[in-house]
Amino acid sequence: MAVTEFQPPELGEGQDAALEVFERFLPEQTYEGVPLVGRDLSKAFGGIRALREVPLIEVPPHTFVGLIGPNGAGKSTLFNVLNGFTSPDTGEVILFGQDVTKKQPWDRAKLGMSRTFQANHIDLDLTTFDNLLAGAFQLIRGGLFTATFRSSKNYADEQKARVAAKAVARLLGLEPVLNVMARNLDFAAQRRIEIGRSLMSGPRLLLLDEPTAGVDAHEAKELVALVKRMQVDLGLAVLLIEHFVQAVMENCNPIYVLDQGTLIASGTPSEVSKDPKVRASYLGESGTGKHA
Amino acid sequence: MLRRYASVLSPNVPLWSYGVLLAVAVGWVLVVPKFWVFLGGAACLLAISALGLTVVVGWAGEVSLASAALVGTSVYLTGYLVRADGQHLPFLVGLGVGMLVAGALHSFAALATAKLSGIYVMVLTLGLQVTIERTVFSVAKLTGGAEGVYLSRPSFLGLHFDSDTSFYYLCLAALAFVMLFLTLFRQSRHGRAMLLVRTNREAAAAVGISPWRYKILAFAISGVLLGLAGGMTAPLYRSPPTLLQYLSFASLFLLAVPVTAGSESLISVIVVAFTFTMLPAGLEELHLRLSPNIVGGAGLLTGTYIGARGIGGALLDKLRDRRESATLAAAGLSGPTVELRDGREPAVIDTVPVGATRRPPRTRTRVPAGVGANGGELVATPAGLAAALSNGSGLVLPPRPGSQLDGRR
Repeated sequence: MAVTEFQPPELGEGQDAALEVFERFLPEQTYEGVPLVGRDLSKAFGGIRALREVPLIEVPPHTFVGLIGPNGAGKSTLFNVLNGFTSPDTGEVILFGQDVTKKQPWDRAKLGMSRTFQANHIDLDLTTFDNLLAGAFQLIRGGLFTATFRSSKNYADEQKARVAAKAVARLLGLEPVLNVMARNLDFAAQRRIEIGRSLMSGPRLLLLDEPTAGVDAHEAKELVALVKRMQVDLGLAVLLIEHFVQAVMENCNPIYVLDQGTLIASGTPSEVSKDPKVRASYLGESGTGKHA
Repeated sequence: MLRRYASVLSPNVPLWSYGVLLAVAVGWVLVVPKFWVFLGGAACLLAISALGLTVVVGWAGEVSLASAALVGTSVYLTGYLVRADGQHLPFLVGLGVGMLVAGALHSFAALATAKLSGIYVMVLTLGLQVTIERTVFSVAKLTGGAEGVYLSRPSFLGLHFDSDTSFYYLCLAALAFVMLFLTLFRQSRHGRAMLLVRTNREAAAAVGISPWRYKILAFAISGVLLGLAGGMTAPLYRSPPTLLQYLSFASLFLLAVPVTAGSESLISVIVVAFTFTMLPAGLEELHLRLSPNIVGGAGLLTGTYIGARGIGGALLDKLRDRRESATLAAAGLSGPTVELRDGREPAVIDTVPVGATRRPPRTRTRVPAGVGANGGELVATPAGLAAALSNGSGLVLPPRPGSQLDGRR
């Protein structure tokens, strides 16, 4: 009996085709509930209280939520607590309705959460394509032997992931450098690879930790707009830490503001920008538009 | 069906060269003296050990100093299980047990250091090496003690591997299988996961990969391959080698192979393993004495100087970079660059490439200021710029084509 080889989906021309292919690659949303809720979270490192009972951080479905605050405000600690790299002293983290406070980061990723980091954590000795493909780990089936010796199911998943990686590359403007080693690319392209790798893990909730760090103002604006577009198109929930306040104000709603481990404000961009505590501690009297 | 395995062959290497390689690997033993055929078998087994270590050193980013003990354990255990005055089991059974035990011991070391890395893993694996030396190697029943033991070469599936040539082919087949397995593994989801764990554990965890699991897997695969090399070494020598060959110093020798070759190319690991085995014997024919340990030491130094990508990686990088610069130029991205402006003139004075792999110049460089304010020269410090722009430095200014940088901002 002839074995019919799996035919991978075709990637047509243009952004829409790429989006369609990538949407098909994303797993079915199987979890109900609000994507992310952090409640009463505290964390101290010795005598330093990085988080002081942050009452509520909520990322509703299909929203682009911003988290801002000056350096040392506790934003990255909060991210690490939400993501599972740091366990909180008090409080709980609810992911798609499940209490994941004690779960490991990779278990949280299986529920549909992914994140990027302030510094680039891509493999500079791999091509753009291989870096992107590494993100698809949990969407490709196969144990040690079935994946190594390429069982039919594994091979089909691999082919789908390869086409999806090309689609993501196109969406992120990385298509021309798909087979170029990451070390030969500029920093902004490397940031995009990191975001692309997170997308390849098939998240429904994406945590972005200063994706524009180290990128010039023009590029930063472009990058945040690109993420916003993907968030809308793919129906993701995104929590964004960003020093580029203008980009947060233009794209995010709601916005949370942390200062010295305390949540000092939350609400719509206009509510946050008018909040006297925020103006005093972070934005300055001149208002928004500061690239801190 | 074959299409799914096509990626094993590099698209940049012509198909005929694989045929030539196969012909050379099979044919050279037919035209050389027996001694060299024997060495060929030994080189294949060293290559298998080194490939096993490459999984830990190159792909998982850890260092194991227990490799010689694991090879030795399998040498003596397999030898004991298959020899007539031992358990007299079929060779493949004895070999399988040797591989499993070596894999289990190596995994145990990884388990004990699951949350640690670097120096702690090195110390613990060195501890495992010494423990095996003091326990397994002191069991006379296994090693044969001072008298030594005789071991016949295996026969199975109707095939006899008694001659040096036939045993070489057995070793070559094992090496080819290991090569195929590792190439397929490296390209699988698990291989990619292992590399991502090496790059950054947190980044791996963020996409659903358990770093601990892949560290343990790397040590397990490595242990099994070291066990395979050990189990086949026993019949190669007919009498298992003295335990002096498997003491801690030998672990450093084994480590030298993947360190010299790098993790980028498995072929380069095999080439280095053959060189390490053949070079001292070749020089001896010319009446020049060179201890294999000196070869190993020189390899470690060379590998350390070249860097983590080793000789294989360095050569491939040269070829790749040339190819990729054309791709980048075609895409309008000529690689990381910085534009220099003198602050008073809007026009760009010069563009300085800041490749991440480029060694920054150590001296201040004068950049001709074609449109400088005074028509003179603008003194720039590409070294400083390159350092600031280097991803590894922690400073993350943007090496983006077209980024404006006036030497101050």
